[in-house]
Amino acid sequence: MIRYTLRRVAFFFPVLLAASALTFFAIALLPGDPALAFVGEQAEQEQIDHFHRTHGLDRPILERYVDWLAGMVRLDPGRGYLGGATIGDELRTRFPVTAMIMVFIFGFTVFFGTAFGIVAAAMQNRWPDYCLRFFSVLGQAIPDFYLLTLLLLIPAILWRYSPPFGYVPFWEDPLRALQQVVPPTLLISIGGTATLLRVTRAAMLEVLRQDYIRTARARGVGQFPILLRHAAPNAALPVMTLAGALMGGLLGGTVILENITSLPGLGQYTFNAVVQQDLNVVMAMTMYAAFLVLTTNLIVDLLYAAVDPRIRYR
Amino acid sequence: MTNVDYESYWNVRARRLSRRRLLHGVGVTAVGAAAVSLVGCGDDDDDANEPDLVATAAPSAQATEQPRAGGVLRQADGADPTHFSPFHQPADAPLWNVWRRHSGYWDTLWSMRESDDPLNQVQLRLAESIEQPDELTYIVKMREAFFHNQPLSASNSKVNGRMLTAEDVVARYAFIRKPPAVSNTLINSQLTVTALEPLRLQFKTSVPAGLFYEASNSGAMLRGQEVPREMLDEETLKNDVPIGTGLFMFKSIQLGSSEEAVRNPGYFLKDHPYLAGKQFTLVPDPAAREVAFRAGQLDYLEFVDVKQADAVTADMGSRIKHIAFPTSKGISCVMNLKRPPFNDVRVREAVYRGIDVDRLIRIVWFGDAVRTGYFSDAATARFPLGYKAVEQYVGYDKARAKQLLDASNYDGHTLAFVIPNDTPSLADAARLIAEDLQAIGFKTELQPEARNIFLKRISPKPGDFDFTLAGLQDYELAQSKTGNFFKNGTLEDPEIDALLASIITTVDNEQRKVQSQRFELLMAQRYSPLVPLLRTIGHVGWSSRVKGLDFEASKAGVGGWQPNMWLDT
Repeated sequence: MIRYTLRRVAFFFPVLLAASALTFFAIALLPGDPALAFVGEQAEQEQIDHFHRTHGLDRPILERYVDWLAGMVRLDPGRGYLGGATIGDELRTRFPVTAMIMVFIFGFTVFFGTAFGIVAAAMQNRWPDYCLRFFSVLGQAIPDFYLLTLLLLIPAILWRYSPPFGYVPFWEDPLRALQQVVPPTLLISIGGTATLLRVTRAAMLEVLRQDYIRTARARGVGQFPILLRHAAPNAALPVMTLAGALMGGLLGGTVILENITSLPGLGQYTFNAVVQQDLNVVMAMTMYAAFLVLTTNLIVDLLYAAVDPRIRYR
Repeated sequence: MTNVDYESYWNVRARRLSRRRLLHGVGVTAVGAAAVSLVGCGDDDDDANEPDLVATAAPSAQATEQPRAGGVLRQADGADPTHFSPFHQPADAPLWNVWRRHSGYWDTLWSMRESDDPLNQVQLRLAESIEQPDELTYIVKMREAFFHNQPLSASNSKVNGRMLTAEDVVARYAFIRKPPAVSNTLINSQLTVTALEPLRLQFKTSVPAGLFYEASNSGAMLRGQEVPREMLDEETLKNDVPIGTGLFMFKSIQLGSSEEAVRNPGYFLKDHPYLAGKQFTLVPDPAAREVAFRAGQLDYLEFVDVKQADAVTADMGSRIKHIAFPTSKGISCVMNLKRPPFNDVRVREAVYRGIDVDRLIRIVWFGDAVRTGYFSDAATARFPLGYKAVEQYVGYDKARAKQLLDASNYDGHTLAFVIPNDTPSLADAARLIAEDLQAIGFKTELQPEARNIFLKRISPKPGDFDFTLAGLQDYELAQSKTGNFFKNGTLEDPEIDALLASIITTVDNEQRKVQSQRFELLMAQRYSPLVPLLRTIGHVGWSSRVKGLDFEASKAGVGGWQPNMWLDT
């Protein structure tokens, strides 16, 4: 298990380095001068030059990359083009908000996706199964941003209600924080839940047809232990793979959610940076996303080995 | 009422878990979790936010109501301001709007009010009086005003309570001359500011300055805000708590979420501001801003467009007020004079005659814009001639446009129509204009570009474009020798250049009026490569409990000054 873990961890860093190089050079070699977007349409050359000097854009690209990479290693990605707080400060301030959102979305997705998937498999071709399959197709078909907009608009028009805007940390006012976070995260998890439900159902059905399940039933083992003790662990691999992939997709979900519900997390920060062409921030946030996805994959890989001992001996 | 059979804990525990009960349990858990989540939707402060349902008088009449202090005004912004400096450029137009959230922290010596009467545009603020002994000299007597900090804030406490002096103003001018602060030709090279006494200043220009008041100290151009000289450093200005002599004092900011300001009790204008404070919440999504407004979480909203304004007004009825006003956003179509065929005046006239601006307004702006004939920046309309006066030269006439183009030197090559890809309304407008131009015989290709690439193609002479869309231009930028973004939009006509030079240096208003109107006429008669098209209409809605809003006096002050506003709470 230790060798397996070390192999996976060793793979982690070269991929991260490749991602950093790709991110930096792709953005640095983009045509056009970022200064033009920041110093204003009526700026004089002197102001443009000052911008270049301030942000090191007048230096050779390799030198800039090495400096930037060293900054990333020190967890100091520098400043955005607009000034204000450093990117590191922004990350520290905003991360708890995004983490809370991701925990809620991921929790809802995994809980409802697997629970409903198991129920659908256990009641195959009966009305709960049909209902859940209908829900899963519907959930996959409706875009997140549309659901979120409806969540806001319909109560506002019908009852003049909206979730409270203006972020308050959870520890300061838990009820208000839950009002802000729970309804939208529940909605944004619908798409992932629907996908996970289908995969869980398919995996469970395959396992439930196995001989050992039939044997367990013949020995009088009840449905509950069969589903949870014998079938679910064996159906877990594809579900874990998908859950890991969904974790990466959550980043996109947080961008939409934080912008529509005005929560000051990393998704909102990234979105603003893209809109304002603040490439320093975009690079830092791309690296953050790459780090998150790679970490999730690493955890999923390690969980594979924990769930299925055959994997670690290959 | 529900009858519940008594069951002991032990009875229940002993019962075997059946499949049915398992599924039932899972179902109930799922529904329960969903219900608990939705309970979170409950509004616990409906009553507190209940707007006053009593209808109030029209906006112009509101201003005449007796002022009553009170209330915290809740507004929303679409983007984060990212820094506090009043002298450094935010990124682009949305941030420009957000910057206004901070403008209440500072005051200016004077400000320019929007007025169709140019003689009535200067409003004295920190300046008590201005004398002009000769064409080049302005003596400004300042009021007694004090810098105020939020008492709880430790940073820069040394300037808290200190009086604003002429030395602060002189230091500010020295600072804004250095990039990347935003300045202009008058301040950079023609103006000397000297402190005569602690509260007396002398402004001296090296040449007569016809536009002295707006060019030297306009708050709207990011250069006129009075800050303590101790703070005149880019890092300090951007990151420290803002301190000024303005209507409001900074109270707190939650990064990426909200900002609070409280009333400045020592503001020089007695009893002002009437508001107890302001609260800004960052709500990037326009639909979410509408939701917050409908739900009573905001007192004040700038509508995205007329459709949103109409829908909200129809639903909310007398609970809100709504006004529409022409904004300073002018839109023009620019031809590249440096490239053929635009050196042929017949081609330029064909473009003027061939664009159906009414169709543009109807389709892209839902009828919610006004046709403009201004060739100068409509935000500072000085002596407007008006569209009617130039209609005979520039009015839509498709048949004539086709004739002119047929007779011209245009060889039928494809013309590049370059537009920024971040503004949907401009993209739609460009599409319609291209259709109009094709209908009279032009071949065009739309080329949307990212903002920085767009600017790179448009800005340098001769520019890598044939057509583009832009705002209107200021007098200074309309001259062939000056200008930067708009330098490809100048006519390069010696007579017009001379006229513009004269306008800028003519102090006498009557003389400048004659010259300005002649400029407008000549630009139409000689078919400037910058074709003025329209001005958009802005829409603002506010709760009925907001009183005393004086839009007549302060159209541009929406979200900014609002000195006459208070809330019935």
